[in-house]
Amino acid sequence: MDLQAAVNAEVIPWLHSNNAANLVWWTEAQLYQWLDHMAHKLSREALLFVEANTNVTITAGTMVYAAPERHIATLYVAAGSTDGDGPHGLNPANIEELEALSYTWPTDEGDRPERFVHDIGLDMITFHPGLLAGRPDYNVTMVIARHLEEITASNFEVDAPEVLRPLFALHALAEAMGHDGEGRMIESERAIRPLLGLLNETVRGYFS
Amino acid sequence: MTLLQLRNQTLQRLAESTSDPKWFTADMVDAAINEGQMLYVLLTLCLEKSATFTVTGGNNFVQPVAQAEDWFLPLRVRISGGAKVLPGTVGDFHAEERSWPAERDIIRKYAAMGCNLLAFYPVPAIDTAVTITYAYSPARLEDDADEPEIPAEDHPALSDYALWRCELKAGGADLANANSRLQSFLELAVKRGTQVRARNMGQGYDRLPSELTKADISRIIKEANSGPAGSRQRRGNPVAALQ
Repeated sequence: MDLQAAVNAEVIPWLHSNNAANLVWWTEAQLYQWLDHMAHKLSREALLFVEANTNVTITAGTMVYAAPERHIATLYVAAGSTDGDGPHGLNPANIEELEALSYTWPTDEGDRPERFVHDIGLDMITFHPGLLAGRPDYNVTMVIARHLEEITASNFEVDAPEVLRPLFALHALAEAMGHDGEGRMIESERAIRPLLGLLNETVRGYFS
Repeated sequence: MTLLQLRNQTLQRLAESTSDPKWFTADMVDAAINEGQMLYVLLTLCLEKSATFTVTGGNNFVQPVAQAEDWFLPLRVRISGGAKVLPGTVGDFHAEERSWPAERDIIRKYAAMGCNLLAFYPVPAIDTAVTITYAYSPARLEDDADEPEIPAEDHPALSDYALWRCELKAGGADLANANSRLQSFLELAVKRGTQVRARNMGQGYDRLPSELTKADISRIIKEANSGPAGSRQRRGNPVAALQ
């Protein structure tokens, strides 16, 4: 989905300009910022962007790893050893369960990881038990919901269905028309918001 | 109706010349018509097609957009021979068999996550073709002779939407009058969505359109009409604004 084309065709002409350079009461950077806001909203509320990330490898002696970039929520984790064991699914856990299982859980070691927990904030993931010395590495597949890289005038391609393009354009337009300043068009903003609410609910129903 | 017919109809309703529009250009109207078609499909799932997708041997995950650019939502999955692949979640797969990613057998279940990830369980060791019926995004209307892909009897709804969308630029009384066109567009989408929903249920599809009958369209229009009677909206010189 080309959001630059969306901005140029479906937003800028409504802001009394024929191109981004001639905008009077708004800037191009503001428009892309509002597109980025919508991408974050869809990521968070509809879990729109999900990937099977394979960047994490569990090695002996280390239990805590950084979660993949722009991680929102972990949907599923599997781990398979480099010598052919698995992959097998890891059970989600919380600290209460781990402490009930073993009060030395932060230092437990075993043949293979069995469960995961997001401890020390959502950006870190802990695998329990840790691997015994000499055990082969385990490649981890994490199915995660994530944010996209920031949408800007130089990063405007989004891997999403084309039918979602109007949500981005209408959101940017509503934000621009509601933005305080000489170009404010309150009734136009208020005309768009209810439709956007219906569309957001629809998208949430399809994907989350 | 062709793009040219829709455009001219919308321009006439906007009191613009079809040969030399000033305030609402042909490009603006075309963009609004395309946006209307996208929203109509989003709300009703009225466009569907079947295509063959390849599941790589030994790999449970597929990104369908890489194999079909117009991918939107899966409706039904079948393997060769016609057997249906049942919908589920990865949580279901995990509950059934903890080492499900390692199982090698004929595909029985799938899970759809986000807008571009499918998980299959189990998967064979070799590449396998599956037939997926999916709701798809319509092609953009570019040439005058292009026709929208939504049902022909729904084409006038695109002119209604384009009229409302264009009047967002004007605001004030023009927009207030045009809000009823948005209502017409949404009410037609509700009717079409209800029909598609009933049909999809009869087809045994795994996904249904949003239940639009539960959306209060009149409230949406009432809120759209709730803007202040006047504003600092500056109409300005339409020709100068485009130069």
